[in-house]
Amino acid sequence: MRLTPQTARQLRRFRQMRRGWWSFLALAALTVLALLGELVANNRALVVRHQGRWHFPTYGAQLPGTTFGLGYSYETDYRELQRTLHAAGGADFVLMPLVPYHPNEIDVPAGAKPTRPPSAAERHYLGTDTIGRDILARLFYGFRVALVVSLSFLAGTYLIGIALGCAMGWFGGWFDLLMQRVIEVWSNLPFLLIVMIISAVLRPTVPVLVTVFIAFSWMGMTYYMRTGAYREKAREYATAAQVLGAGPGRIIFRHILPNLLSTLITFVPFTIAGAIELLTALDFLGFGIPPPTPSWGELLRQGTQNLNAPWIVSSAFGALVLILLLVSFVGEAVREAFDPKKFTHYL
Amino acid sequence: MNPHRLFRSVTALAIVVFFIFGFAACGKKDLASVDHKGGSSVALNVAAKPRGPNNPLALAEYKAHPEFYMIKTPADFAAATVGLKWEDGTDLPIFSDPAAKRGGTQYSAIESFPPTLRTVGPDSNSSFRTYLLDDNEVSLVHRHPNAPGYYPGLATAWAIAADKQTIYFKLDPDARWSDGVPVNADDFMFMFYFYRSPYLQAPWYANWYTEEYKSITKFDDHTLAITLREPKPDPVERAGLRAIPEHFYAEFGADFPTRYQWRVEPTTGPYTVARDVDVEKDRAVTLTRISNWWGNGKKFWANRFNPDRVIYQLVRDRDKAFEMFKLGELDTFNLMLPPRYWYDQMNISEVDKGYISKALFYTFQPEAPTGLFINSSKPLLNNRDIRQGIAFASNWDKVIQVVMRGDARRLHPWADSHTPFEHPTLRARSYDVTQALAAFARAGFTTRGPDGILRNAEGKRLSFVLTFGSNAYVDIPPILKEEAAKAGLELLIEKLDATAAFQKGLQKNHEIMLAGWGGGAEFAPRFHEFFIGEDATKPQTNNFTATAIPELDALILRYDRSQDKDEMVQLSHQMIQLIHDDSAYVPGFVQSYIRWGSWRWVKFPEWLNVREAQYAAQYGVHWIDEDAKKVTLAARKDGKNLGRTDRTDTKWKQD
Repeated sequence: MRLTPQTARQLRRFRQMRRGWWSFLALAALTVLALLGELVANNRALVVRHQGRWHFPTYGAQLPGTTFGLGYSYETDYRELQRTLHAAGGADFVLMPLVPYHPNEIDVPAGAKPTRPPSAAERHYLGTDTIGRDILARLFYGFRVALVVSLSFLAGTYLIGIALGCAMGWFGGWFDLLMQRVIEVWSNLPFLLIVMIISAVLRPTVPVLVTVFIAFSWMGMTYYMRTGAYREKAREYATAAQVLGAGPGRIIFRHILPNLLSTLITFVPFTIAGAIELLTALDFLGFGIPPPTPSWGELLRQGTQNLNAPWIVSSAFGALVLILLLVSFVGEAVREAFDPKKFTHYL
Repeated sequence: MNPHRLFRSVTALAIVVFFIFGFAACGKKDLASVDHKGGSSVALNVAAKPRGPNNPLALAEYKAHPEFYMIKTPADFAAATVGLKWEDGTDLPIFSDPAAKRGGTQYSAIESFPPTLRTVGPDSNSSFRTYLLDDNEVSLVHRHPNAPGYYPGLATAWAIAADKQTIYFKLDPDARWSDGVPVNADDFMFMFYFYRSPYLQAPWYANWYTEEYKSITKFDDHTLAITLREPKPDPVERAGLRAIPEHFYAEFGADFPTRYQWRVEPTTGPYTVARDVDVEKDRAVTLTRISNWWGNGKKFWANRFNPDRVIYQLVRDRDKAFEMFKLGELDTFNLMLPPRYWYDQMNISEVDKGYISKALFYTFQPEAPTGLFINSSKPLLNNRDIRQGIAFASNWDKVIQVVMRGDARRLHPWADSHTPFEHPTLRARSYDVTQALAAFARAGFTTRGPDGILRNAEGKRLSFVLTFGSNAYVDIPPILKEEAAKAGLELLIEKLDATAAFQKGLQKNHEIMLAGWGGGAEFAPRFHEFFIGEDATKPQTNNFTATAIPELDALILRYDRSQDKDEMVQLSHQMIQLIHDDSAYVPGFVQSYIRWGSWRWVKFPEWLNVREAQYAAQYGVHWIDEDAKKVTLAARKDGKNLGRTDRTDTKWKQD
C-alpha cells in the first residue's frame, strides 16, 4: 500500500507530537505484552527441566502432575515443583513467569487471610483480592479482555456506522429519511437498562456482551458519515466517478471513504476509551462478563467495598487511569495530526 | 416458616428500579423527616374501642361451609375438653431481662423500601414484612426459643384432643388490637375466611389454609378449636395461628390489593405504624411502641420490645449503611456476611474505646438446606455416579476457609441440627479428587482432554452450568470452579438476578444451582416439598433436584402420615441415607451463630440472645439506654476510652 502524500504528512506530524507518539508506543507495547500474557503472568512454568527432559508447558495441553512423578492427575503445581526441585538440588529446575499466578487461581495458604498486601517475597506484586487471587495477574488479563472487547466494539460499530452512514448520505431521499427516524427511535432505548436486564437473565459471554454493545452504539458514527458523504457527493470527483459508470458501492468505498478517513481516525481512540469505560462500569455494577473472568470493573468494585485493603482499589484505579490517559494522549495527537483545517483547502 | 420467605435477597431488579425511580426521590423533605430527627420519642397510648359488626361476606361464607366454620356452645366446649390436659407453658423459663428499660429510639436501616404495607397479597413478601408481621405479631402460641415447648400468645391455655388432630384454645381476654379493639374468636374465623379468599391474590395461602386445616370451631368469644386435616405428632405447631382483625376489613373485596396497599392493619404486637407521616415513601418507616400494650405484663412478653420507636431508614447500599453505623447513625449492624465487616473493617477506634461492641452468639436451631441442587433430569446429571463425582469435586472446606475465614462448618446431609431427625452418623462427602475421578470413571468419563477436563468415549466434555442468584454467594462459585477442575469437572458460572435464578430453578431449567433456602425452627424437617417424585418434572415446585425415587416417595408419604415421632425419626434417617446416596443435593456450609455490632447504649441481657435467634433484634430482648447514649457520645467527643466491650457467648455452641 502506498500512502498518499497527504497521509504521509499527517503520519509524520503525528510522530512529531512526542506525548502522543510515546503514548502510542507504550500502548502498543502493552498490547503486545497482553497478547503474550501467558508468558508474563501464569501458573504454568516457562521452562521445566526434569530428569534430563525439557518441558515448555506455557502453551498447549495441560501436563498432569504424573508427568513429573507427582501423585496426581490434574495440572502440575509448578510453584510447588519449583520448590521441591530447588530443595533437591541437582540440575533439574523450573523457570516460572514474572508473575507465577493464574488470574483465576486462589492462593490462600493455610492460616493466611485471603486478602493480602503486596509482597515481593510471595510474588504477589500488587497483593491479592478478596478471595486470594493475584491482582497483577487479574489486571493483566483484565486488560486483555478489555482490549478484545474494545477492538471488537470498534470494528462492529464502525462497520455498521460507516456502511449505513455513507449509504444514507449517498442515496439520500426516502432512505435517508427512514433511516434517520430508525436511528432516532433506536437511540432513545435506554442502553444501560437493556444491558442490565440481559445480563440479569442470561449468561453474558464476551461475544454476547460485545454484540449488545454494538447493537446500541452504532448510531453515533452514522451521522458523521452521512454528513461527510453528503458533502463529498457534491464534489466533482464523485460526479466524475459516476460519469465513468462506477456503481454506488465502488464510489462510496473507493472514492468517498478515503476522504472521510481523517474524520474517522480521530474518533478511534475515544471509541476505544469509551468501550473500556463502558465495560468497566458494567462489571463494576455486576452486569458485565460473568465471573471468574478477570475484569477491572470487578476489581474496582471489590476495592471500593474493601477500602481497608487499599492495594485493590489503587491497583485497579491506577491501571484504568494509566490506560485511559494513554489512549487520550494518542487521541489528542491523532486529532491534531489529522486536522483537515491544516492540509485541506476548499476551492 | 412458609416458602414465600425464601429467596428474599436483594435483587438486581432493585438496582434497575433505583435507576429509574431512585433519583426522583431526592430532594423531598417533609414534616416527618424533621420530626424523627429532633423530637423526643413518644410511645402510643391506645384507648379501648368496641368491636364493630361482623363482616357480611364472611358470614355468608360461614353459612355456605358449615363443615369448616363451626359454631357451637360453651357447653359443647366443656364436654369436648373433659379430661384433656391444659397447657400454658408456665414451667418454661423467661428469656427477657427484667433489667430492661423501656423508651428511646432505635435507628435501623432497610435495604429496599416495602412496596406495600399489606402483609399478604401481591408484593407483600418483602423483607420489611418481618418487622410488621413475622417478628411483631402475636399468635395463639409461640415456640419457645430456648427450650422445647410453647409459650402463650393470644391463647392463655391450650389442650390437644386425643386424636392429635384438634386443639382447643382459651383466648386471653386482655388481648387487644393496636387500635384498641378486643381480639376474640371471630378474628380467627375471619382469618380462615380471609386467607382462603381469592381476593387476596395469594394462592399459596388459599391452598395452605384449605389443605392443612379441616375446620375451626367457635364456642364463645374466648374459646375456639382448630382441627387439622391430618393428625400430627405435634399439632400445636400447625395451630399456632395469628388472628386477622375482622373490623379492619369491613371493605374487604376484589380490590383488596390496591385498596389496602398502604393501610396499616392493626396488630396484636407491640409495634405499629402510628401516623400517616411515619411512612415516608422511599425514605423511612417509623414503628411506634404501644405504651399500654396488652402484653406488657405477660410473663413471656414483659421486658421485650423496649424501644419506644424504631426508625427504619432506607439505605440501599449495605456498605453505606455500614459507614452510617460506624458514625453512630444506626444503632446496630448485622456483621454476618461478608466476613470483612467482622474481621477487617471493625478494627476501628470506636471498638477499641468501647463505643461499639462486637457480639458473637452461637445459636442452635435446625439449619436450612444450602448448597448445590443438581437437576437430575438433565442429561449426564441423571447419572448417579456423576452426581456423586460432583459432590466429591466440590471443595466446601476451601470455600469455608477462604470466603468464611474458617468461621463456618460443613452442612450435614439433610435436616442439620434437627435433633433427633438428623442422621446421627452420616456426613456430607468431603472434597476428594481420587474418589471424584473414580465416580466419573464409573460413568464413562475416563480421559482428560488437553484442558484437563474429562471426556467420555464419544468425546463429550464433563461440563455443567452452575447458576446462582444471591449476591451473598458471589465469591463461592469461582472457588468451586477452580477446585472442580482438578477433578476434571468444568463448571461454567452463571450469575443471574436473584428472582431470575429462582424462576430458573422452579422451571427446572438449571443444571446445577447454588442456593440457600430460608429456614426456621419446625417440629420436623421437610422432605415432601424438596424430594417428592410427582414434583420432579412439575414447574413451580421446590423439587430443584428433580428427584424421583419410588422408594423415597413411599417413605415420604409414610412420614407425612405418621403420628408417631419415633417412627418419623426412623423414616427420616432412612430418607436422609437415600438422599445422600442419590447425591442430587450437595450440602454446603452453615454459620451456626449470629454476630453483630452495636453501640454502647444498646443493651442486651447478660445471656445476650436466644438459642433460635436469626438476627440480634429478632426477639426484642435488647433496650436503648438513653443515659448511656449521652455518656458514650460525650466520650466520643473527648476521645475518652470507655474500655472494650466485645462479647461472645458459646453456651449453645456445637462441635
